[in-house]
Amino acid sequence: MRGDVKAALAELNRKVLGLPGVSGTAVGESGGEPCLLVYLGDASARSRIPSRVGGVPVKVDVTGRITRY
Amino acid sequence: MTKLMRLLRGRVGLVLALMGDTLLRAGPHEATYGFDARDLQAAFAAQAQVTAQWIDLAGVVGTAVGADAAGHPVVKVYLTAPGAALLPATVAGVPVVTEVTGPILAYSADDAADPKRSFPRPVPIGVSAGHPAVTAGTLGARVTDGDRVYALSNNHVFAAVNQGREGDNLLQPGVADGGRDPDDRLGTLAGFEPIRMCSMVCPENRLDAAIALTTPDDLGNATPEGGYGTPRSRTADVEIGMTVQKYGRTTGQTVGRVTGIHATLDVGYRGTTARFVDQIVISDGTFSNPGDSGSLVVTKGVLLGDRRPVGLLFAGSNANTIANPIDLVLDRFGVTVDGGGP
Repeated sequence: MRGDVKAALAELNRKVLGLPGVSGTAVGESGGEPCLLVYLGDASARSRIPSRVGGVPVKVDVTGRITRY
Repeated sequence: MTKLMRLLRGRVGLVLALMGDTLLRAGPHEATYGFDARDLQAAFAAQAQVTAQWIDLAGVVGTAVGADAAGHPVVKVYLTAPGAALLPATVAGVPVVTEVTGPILAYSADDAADPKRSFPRPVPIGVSAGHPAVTAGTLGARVTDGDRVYALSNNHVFAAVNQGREGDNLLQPGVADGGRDPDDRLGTLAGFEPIRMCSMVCPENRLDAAIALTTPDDLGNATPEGGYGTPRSRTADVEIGMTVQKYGRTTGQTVGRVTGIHATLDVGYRGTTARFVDQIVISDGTFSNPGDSGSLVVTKGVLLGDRRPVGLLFAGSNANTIANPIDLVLDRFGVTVDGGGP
């Protein structure tokens, strides 16, 4: 993983993990370029998610509640 | 084909019976039905009582709850040929009615590959299994330390979320699929990585994993027919966009795509939450469902790029499936996937 993406993920984690409605984060890809992903339990937290962190775009995935399968 | 139709009709009968049950419970129109809910409950109880024993009889294909010509609930028993099995006329007061479906359906590909069923030993990987205190999950793979062999799955499948003790039985199938302790024992719990739940803070977990000691006589290393087969021993580094496949207890063989890596996720465990880091996210939502936990996730590629272990499935949501990185899992127990070829 590129250093700038790694640093951006760490910064994103500090910003959003633990916010109500946020289930998690990851590194993904969008249009062939790395992006950051924020997983939401529902769409209500969408407005609190930044669109870029450390120059890396952030995409939102309203995944629903994640439970053990 | 007519035999198939007949078997299907038996199953439709079961569904109708279940609907009838619901309608009967619903209320005031009870009298319009030819039988009451207690008769139906008695029939289901009778079926449950005899199925495990009768299904092992030569000549018996399966059982169901159906209705006789007068509309009374009966236990139906499907046979390979007329008189193929000697059965009593009633069970606990419920009539037993036989129906010949023929020998072909006795082992139709559909039934033979149903990952929820009890398999003769050695059982395939990717099928129903679990600790006696757990409903059911998936036995994902056979792994080896070079000396002994183990079944691999999740802590929450083989060790009931930190509750299991070394030596506890592993059942195939799991309890929710009719597994009984100790009759259906496939192995014994040998180790698990504890899961630490969030309280004031959320400790970082990487694994929901456990292994159970078993033998090559009890556990094979390939999926049932229709699955990807035997995984390779050498793992693959996960990449975004990678096409992957799994075979599991609930959804069988499915294909998905890695859409997220280095994921940090809060996962619900019956009222509590555990945080996992360094996880793999697979889409779309059809890749897995509850009960697929423990499935081995392998690459779907060509030649040597195919069937390489990537992850251990343990969680999911409507849209995504979550897996532990397989190298972390294998290193934790000092094992490799006991697979086919390099």
